[in-house]
Amino acid sequence: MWIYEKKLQYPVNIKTPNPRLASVIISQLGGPDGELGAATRYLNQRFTMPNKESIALLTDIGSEELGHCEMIGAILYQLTRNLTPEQITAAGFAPYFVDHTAGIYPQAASGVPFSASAIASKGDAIADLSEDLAAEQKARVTYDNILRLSDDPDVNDVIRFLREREIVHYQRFGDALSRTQEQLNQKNYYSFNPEYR
Amino acid sequence: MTREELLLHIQRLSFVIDEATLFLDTHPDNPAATSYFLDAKEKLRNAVDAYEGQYGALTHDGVITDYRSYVGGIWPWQKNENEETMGGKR
Repeated sequence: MWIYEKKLQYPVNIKTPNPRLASVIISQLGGPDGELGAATRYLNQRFTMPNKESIALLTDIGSEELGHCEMIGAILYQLTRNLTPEQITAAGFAPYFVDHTAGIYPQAASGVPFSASAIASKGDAIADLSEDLAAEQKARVTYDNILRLSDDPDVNDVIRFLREREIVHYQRFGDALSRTQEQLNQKNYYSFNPEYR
Repeated sequence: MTREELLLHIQRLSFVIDEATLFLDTHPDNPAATSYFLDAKEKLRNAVDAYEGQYGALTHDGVITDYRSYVGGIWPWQKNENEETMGGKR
């Protein structure tokens, strides 16, 4: 079970609405390497993990990713406030606006709705933890790309925080993977030494 | 402290705990990390008590007598308390 805390993990205070920027940042909510996919991936993979350390880590990183969905939602909300129809059209935001107004809907920047097909849960700790390492790197690259496209310091400050979390999570998952491999080696069934059978 | 200052203080302490707990998940018996975590947890509890006493509940558990202290006030993505009732072009 979860408990909601009425605060963001990191503050979001954007002064200037910018629907064009919102339409690319939305990929980190509902895109193939976005935060919703991250939370869904980790919170489902954890059930069948073979050690309690990996279960705990997937639970806590998955929960943090839910907080990141909230932060991306806050960015999108603040970037799309008080827009005139002229501003919406000029910024190329009309295709989103006509379907969702200024509501927050999880989709990729390309307009493709959120899909669980971009994530995996293989039921094998080595496969899943390796997927998680790649997922964190893919999310980090997406944040790098957003930083290339954005010149708003209020937005970039938050994006840099989220980018840094991907790096920390990558390190933590690497730890879980190497511990899991060590355990499997001890039992001699993950990778055995053929000279020692 | 103003509401914003106290909330930022809480966010900082919560982040210390986020970092410590992810490390502890794979190193649950590490004594230095455990005392770092417990110290931050104590500081966070004091800061949350101070915030909730003045500015309203952060969780359901923070409601002492008045449930409006959770419902009312500012939500995390809002910039001011009455934003959603201001109308405007939304």
